[in-house]
Order: sequence, then structure tokens, then C-alpha cells
Amino acid sequence: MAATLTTSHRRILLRTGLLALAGVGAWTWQRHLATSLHHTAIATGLALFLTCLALALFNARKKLPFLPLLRAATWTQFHIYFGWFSILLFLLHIGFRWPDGPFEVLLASVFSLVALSGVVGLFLSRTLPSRLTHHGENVIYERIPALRAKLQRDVEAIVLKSVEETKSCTIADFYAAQLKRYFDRPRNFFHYLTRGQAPLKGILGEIRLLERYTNEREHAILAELTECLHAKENLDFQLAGQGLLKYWLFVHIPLTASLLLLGAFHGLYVFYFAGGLR
Amino acid sequence: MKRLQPFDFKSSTYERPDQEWVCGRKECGEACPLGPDLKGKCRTKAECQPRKDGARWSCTRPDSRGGKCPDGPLPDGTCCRSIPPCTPRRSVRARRRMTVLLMSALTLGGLFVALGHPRRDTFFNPGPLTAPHAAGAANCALCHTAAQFSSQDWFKGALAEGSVHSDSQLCAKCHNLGPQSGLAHNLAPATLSSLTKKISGHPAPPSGEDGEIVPTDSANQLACATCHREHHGRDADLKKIADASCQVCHAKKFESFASGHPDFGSYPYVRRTRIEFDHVAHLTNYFKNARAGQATPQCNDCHTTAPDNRLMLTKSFAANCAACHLDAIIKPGAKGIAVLAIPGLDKKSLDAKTAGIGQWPGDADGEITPFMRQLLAADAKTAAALATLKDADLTNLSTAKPETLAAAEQLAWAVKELIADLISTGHAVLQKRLGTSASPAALGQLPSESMQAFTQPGWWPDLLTEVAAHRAGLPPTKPVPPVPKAGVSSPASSATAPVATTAKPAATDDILGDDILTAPAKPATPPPAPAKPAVADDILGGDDILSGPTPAAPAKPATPAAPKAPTPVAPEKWAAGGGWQVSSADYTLRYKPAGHGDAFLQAWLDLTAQAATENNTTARTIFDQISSASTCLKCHSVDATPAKSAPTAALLVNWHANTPAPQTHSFTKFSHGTHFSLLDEKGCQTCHQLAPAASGTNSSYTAAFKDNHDTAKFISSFQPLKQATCAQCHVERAAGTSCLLCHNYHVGDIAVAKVRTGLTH
Repeated sequence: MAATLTTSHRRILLRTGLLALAGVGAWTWQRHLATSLHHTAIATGLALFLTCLALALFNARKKLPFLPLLRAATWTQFHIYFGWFSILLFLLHIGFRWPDGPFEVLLASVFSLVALSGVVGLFLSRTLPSRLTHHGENVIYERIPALRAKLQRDVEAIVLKSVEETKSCTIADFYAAQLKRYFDRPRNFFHYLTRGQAPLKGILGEIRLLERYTNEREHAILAELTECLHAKENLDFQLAGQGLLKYWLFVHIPLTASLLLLGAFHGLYVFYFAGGLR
Repeated sequence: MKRLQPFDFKSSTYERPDQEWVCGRKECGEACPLGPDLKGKCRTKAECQPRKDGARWSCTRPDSRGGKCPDGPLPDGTCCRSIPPCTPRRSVRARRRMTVLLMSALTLGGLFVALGHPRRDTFFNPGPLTAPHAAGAANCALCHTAAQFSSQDWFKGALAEGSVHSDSQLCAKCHNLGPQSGLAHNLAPATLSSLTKKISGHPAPPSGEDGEIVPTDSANQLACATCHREHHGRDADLKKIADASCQVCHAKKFESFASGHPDFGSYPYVRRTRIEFDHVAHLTNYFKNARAGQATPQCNDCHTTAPDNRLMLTKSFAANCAACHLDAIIKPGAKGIAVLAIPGLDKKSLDAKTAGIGQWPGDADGEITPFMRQLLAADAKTAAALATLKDADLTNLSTAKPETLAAAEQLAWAVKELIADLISTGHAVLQKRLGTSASPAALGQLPSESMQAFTQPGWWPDLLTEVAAHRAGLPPTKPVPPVPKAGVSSPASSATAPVATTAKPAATDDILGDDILTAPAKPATPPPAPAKPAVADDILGGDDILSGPTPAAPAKPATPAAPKAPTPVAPEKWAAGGGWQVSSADYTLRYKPAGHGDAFLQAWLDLTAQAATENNTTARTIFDQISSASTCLKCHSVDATPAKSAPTAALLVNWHANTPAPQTHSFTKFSHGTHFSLLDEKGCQTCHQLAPAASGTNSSYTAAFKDNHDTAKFISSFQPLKQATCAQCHVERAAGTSCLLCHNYHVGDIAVAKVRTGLTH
């Protein structure tokens, strides 16, 4: 384990060092251009646009899994480090000051949102999978609705069974009053984002209170229900976590498309006014 | 924990997240295994599609869906468990793809709307302009040639040759830096290269496309926008540039002002002073002399700051020098400079061997003055005659060759015509003959009364008639018997207008038409200065040019036993204060400077200095004559300056000390005013320390002005400025060390931004 961590850390350190080196190189290059009175914004802007294009190719690569273009994990690493590098290029491009022109403000805002969503996505993809793995049963995202429906049917079967076996509607009433809405649909999305357990603990507390008024058989049924509650809580957690891992891309990728279009137009515009490509 | 997800073959379904559509019942956990078709239509009508085994239909429901149903297919082969159609939904990936397309469409649509919008320029403006340019923010085409084309040309323009250089032409419409505005430092490459070599010992660094250091075009032109970056806010500094940028091109690179900056050399004494003033001699000797009691050796007694606080100016002659030097300028005993004269000619020989030269004083023996030579040379024939007579003795032509006699005759009549033209036409003749822009005011100080002296008896009484006849081709009149020469010479009325005005009849303004010399006018307005001698020997009577043909008999007492008239004042004494004087002794009209700033001398010195090239010795002769006869050039230095049209250098008289020319930018700038508060008890001598001089005079300083017109050859009265003096304050954290703090990039004459204003009704 120690050897694995060391290797992992060494790899991260190496990549971070390369990133820092690239950053220093870019900064030196920009200073050299600025000193020699060249339009640094054109040079850094062109580099930034090409970097963004390279970053966008990652999404295209995912759609072409059959091509032997390195492993997806390698592409991911490139995407992450090039993403950080693009942020540095962006800062160099704007000269560490927020632009003034309406169009440039729009462009800078879009880039910032793309970069921010990328950083958020990186954070989610680095933290959520382990939490999802260690939280409970790992389920496929697309199956969650079906599993939730199946779980709800199982719970209703247990409740009906309790009425038949105990001739008491205590648990059924409790289900109708407290549990049904919990099993009806996904719950407590934002609590799971913050690792909150309060809703589940609240329901479990209600069950513990109910145990005071039930017999042994009903205790066993309540235990089954408790197990179902944990399963539902896991399903909700999986849905929230995996949903986040999927839906942050709804911000990142569309904005990237917009960024590339705006950036291309910006480049043409600047080249036109700054005197062309030559 | 209860496990929900089976992975066995029978109970586990196969997920297809890449599919465009998913079953509408998926959210309920009841998605059909077949799912929608590619177009998003539900295609499931029952839980299975029964298979016909021989004559019977059998159920095909998969085990994952519960296996074969107990009821089995209907007799017609359809499933007994029909499923109502659902409304398929797009998959997560499909929805993301749709979002991308929608966002792209919105972006492109927004761009096209913005491009077609009337306020397009405002939207695409990359940032506010600086305050002076802000008025043009709504019209990009004012500063960008690219904006003068339509949007359809953008792609073409973006791939074309740079337009920043053509944009610079638009800058130059207001900011005129001259024809070399695009070149580094506004200097021709050859000049820049020589300067670089002079400073660093190396030739200029390579430039252009082959060895480009900074972005230039094929003609080595730098665009204005290379350094002046707009659209960075109203308060942006368009002149801001990093020090390191200066050193990119500069051959001599250094770390900072305190470390490695090139030595100041002789700065700020890069040329000799325009006014020859020996600071060492004055401060150490003259100011201590009791005679100079009014002079106090304080720098600001003689110097004051210019309005822009930059240069130190020298106060006027009246404030600084007059107390001690005014008397020497007037020079009471000086005779004056001969301007016009009747030259000596062998009239007898000329009358005998030529057509004759008319009246000519037999005892005239003077020479043609340089002034006259300059004026006469304007006529080609006379110029040729002057050349022929270069070495001839005009007073003895008895053995002269015919061509010499002809030249002498030509010269004689040219002289007469010159004088006659001056009398009859006035100062216009001077300007016409000089063919220059000589100041009429300066030349106009020649009073008409003085010119009338040439027509007095004994000179050329019939000059105008003779010249008219000569020009008409008529022979000259017979020589008249010699008229007794006037016994005294008469001072012309002072060159100044008041004298002429005094002699002028009150009834008329025309000094030539209603001649002031006529008799009726004369008695009424006697000259004020010699008021006493209203007698025959009066310098204004007798042959006085002001007396005219009518003698001043009415004023003369008829009594034979009248007391002896006082002796008239000598012309030199009369003109002691300066002005014009007529000398009958040598038939000459002279001029004596009237004081400091004499306009006549200044005009002729300027005129002849400009023409004093090696090819124009006449001008140089006049220049030298005026120089020696006056004290002007004792203090006012003369520089050699490249003549505008002459092949060799002309001269330039420095009438003023160094004066600021706001439009002229040199490489170095310094503001005296901002440094005054930093001076200690040594005051100006903190920086300007006198050069050591053992004898109390800086003789080397004055020697550099003698027969030297090269401004670079001089010895300063002060020691060169020490760089360490500046470096005391000019460090990074104090006064700063920016290159542009003390240096200009653009050098030469830089006009302020043009204002295009027209007066309209």
C-alpha cells in the first residue's frame, strides 16, 4: 500500500512539476514577447484557443472508443493538466485584469464558467466515486429507477404481510403516514451532497419509537423495513452522486461549445483589426 | 444491507446509455426490454412476441421479466399481456447533446444578431478608450482601416497583410510626427545606425524581416499600436512602456540606472552656449568688481524657469547685461558703416571714350560698398561688369581696354540707377534686388531724406533726369561745370521716424510727393535737434539735404556784421546716438548702430549670414564688415548650419540664448522646476559646478568662439553633470528609474495634435 501511494504521489508530483514548468515557460515566453513589443495577447490568445481545442478533443475521443488513441485515463490526465494550463494562459492573455469590452467580458465569463465547472467536475470526480463505493451497494445509474420501484413494491409487500400476520395495522398506518412518501421517489438530494444523514435518522428514530408499541413479530417486520430504508437511502445517495457526476457536464460541455465558437470569432475579429495573420 | 441489483443472467437487464431514447416507463421501474425505436417511437405492444411452435403459439417472455406467463398467447398468436404505449424520453447523453446544440445555436445566433445590430461597434469594442480618444469610441473606422470595410470582408481581412500599419496613417492625421514617424525614434536608419555606433561602438542591431527584434513591416516601419495600446480604460497611460523594451533594441544593455547606465558624457553641455558668456570670469572677477555693483552673483538673477518648468531661460539683455555693457555697444566714437556711396571713377576718360556717364563728382574716390555690390549684383549685366572690373583701378581708366571702359560705364549707370530707384521707388527696390524675405521694417530704416543727399549740388543734382534719359536711350547731358563741394557734411536725420516726421509738412502724408525738402515746408518745421543753428552754416542749411533747392535765405540775417555763425556739429558727433549720416567728404551714406537689438544690423547680419556660403563671398564680406563695425558678434555666437539650398554650410547668428521649443523633442528631458525643492545650500551648483580656472577666467571657453562656427567644439564653463548626483534620488523605490522619466522616444519636431477647424458662415 505504501509503495502504491508513493508511486501515486510521485506521479502527481511529476505532473504538477511539469505543469509548473509549462506555466513558467509560458510566462517567460509572454514576457519575452511583451518586452520585444509584440502583441502578446495575440500569441497567448492563439495558444489558449488551441489548448481549448485540444481539451475539447477529449470529449470527441470518448465518442470514438474503438480508435487506438491512448487510453481514456491518459486522455483524462491530459485533459486535467491542460485544463490547469489553459487557466494560466487565460490569465496571461487577459493580463491579469478583467476585460472591459462587452464582448470580451462575455467571452471571459464563458471561459471562467467552463474553467470553474471543470474544476468542480474534477473535484466531484475525485471525491464522489470513493464515497459511492464505500457507502453501500453499488448500482448502475440507469437501473436506479427500476430498483427504487422494485424496492417500493417489496416494502408494500412487507407492509401487507404485516397486516396479514399480525392482524394489526400499526405498521401499515406508519407506512402510509411516514414511509410511503419516502419510497415514492428520490429524496433528500442536497442532504447527500453534504453527507447529511438527518432525514434517514429521523425516520429510523420514528421506527424506534414505534417499536415500543409493537410485538415481537412486528419488531421483525420493522427490522425488514429498516433494511429497506437503508437500501432506499443508498439508492438516493447513488442517484445524487452519480447524477452529479453526469450532470455537471451539462454545464461544462455546452459552455465549451459556446466558448469555442466565441473564441474563434474573437480570434478572427482580433486578427482582422490587428492586421491579419501575417 | 438489502441488495437490490442482481447481476445474474436471468434477472439482470442490459443497459444501453448510448441510445438516443429510453422507455417512458423507466422512471417507474417498468421499462420494456425492447425500448423505443431510433426515432423515439414506442414499439412495444405486449410483454412478448409469441413464437409459433408447430401449430401452437408459445410465450417468449424472458426470465428477467418473469418467464413464460401462465395464460400464454392468444389463439391469433398475439401476447395476452398487452402494454399500452409509452412516451419515450431522451437519454441523459442525448439530452446533453441537445443542450450542446442549443447552446451553439444560441451563440451563433447571438453573434449574428450582434453583428447586424446598429450598436455593433459598441458591443465589440474591446474596452474604453482614453479620454482624448473617447469621442471616437462609437466609430471604429476613425482609427481602424479594417472597420472601413463591410462585415463580409472580415475573413478576407483577417488573412491579409497587417492593417496596423495602415492604421498608423490614421493616427498621423492628428499626430503629425513627420515623414519618418514610423521609424524607430523618428530617425532615418542611417542616422540611427551612426548614433548607435557612436555610443556603443557597434552598428545598429539588425532589423526588418530577416533579423526582426521588434515587429516591423517590410519597410522597417513600426506601427503606432506597437507601443501605444488603446482600449485599456479612460485613464490608461498610452505612453507606458517597460524599460526592458528599450533594451531590446539598444545595443548597449545594462541592468538599471544605478548600475550600468551609459555615462552622461558632457551632458548637459552638449553644445556651446548661444550667447558667449564666461560664467567663470563673471562670477570670479567681474561681479566682484565695484563697477558691477548692480550685479549679484545669484543664478536666478539672470535665469528663470520656462513656463513649463523644464528649461532654465536667460533673462533679457536689459535685465542682465545692460548695466555694464550698453555703453560699449553704442561706441560713441565709431564712424559708422558705409552703406551707399558714390564710387570714384575716371570720368574724364569715360566721357572721352564712351557715351559718357553724366554728372559725377570729380573728387569722388571711394569704392563700391559691399552693400551696393550685393544690390548691384542682382542685375546680370552689372554682375558681369563687376567681375570684369575686379582688379581694375576705376579712378584711372586712361589706358584701359575698351571692354574695361564699357564695364565701367555699365557700372556707373548701374550705380546711378540703383540710387535713383531707391529715391523714386523706395524700399521695394531693396527687397526686389535682394530677392529674399528680408524684413521691410529692418531695411526700411533708411530714411528718404538721406537718399535725397545724392541729388544735392555737387553730387548728382540731375540724377533722376539723367537716369530717365539713359533708360530712354538718350545720350547723357553735357557735363556741367563742377559745383563747389559742400563744405560740411550733413548728418541725415536720425534714422528714426520722429525726425522725418518733424521735417514733414503737416499738410501732407506723402514724403516723396510733397517733398519735405521744398522750401515752404522747411522753415515751418526745422529739425529739433540742431535748433540753434538757423544760419548759413547750419548743418541743415547750405548743402543740407533737407534744405532743397531753395536756400534758407529768409532765415539768414542780412546784416553783414552778423556774428560768426557757430561751427556745425560734425556728422559723427551728430549721429553719436546712432542712425544714418551723410558724409559729403566722401559722398557716402553711413549707418551707425543705435543700440542693442539694432534692427538694421540684425536684418543685414541675418541676411548675409544665410547667404554667406563659400560661393557667395560678397555676402560674407558684408557679414564680416558689419561684424567688425559692430559689437553684435562679441556675445552672439555664429553657428555653421547646413544651408537649405546652398551646397555648403551657411551661418546662423544666435540672437537669443537657448529658448524652449515645445514642439522639439530631444532624446533627453529634464525639468528644473521639479528639482528646486531638492537643492541644498549649494543651490544650482549642486549640479552645475563651475569649471576650475586658475586665472579666474575660463579662457578656453571664450577661445572656442573665436573663428569657430562648430557648436560641438567648445569648452564649457561648467563641469559635466555627475550621474551619481542623479542616482542619489533616482532609485527604484524613490524618484524612479524609468527610462521615459528622462528620455523621449520620439525625437524631432512633434506638432501637437491637429485641430481641423474651418471657419464657416
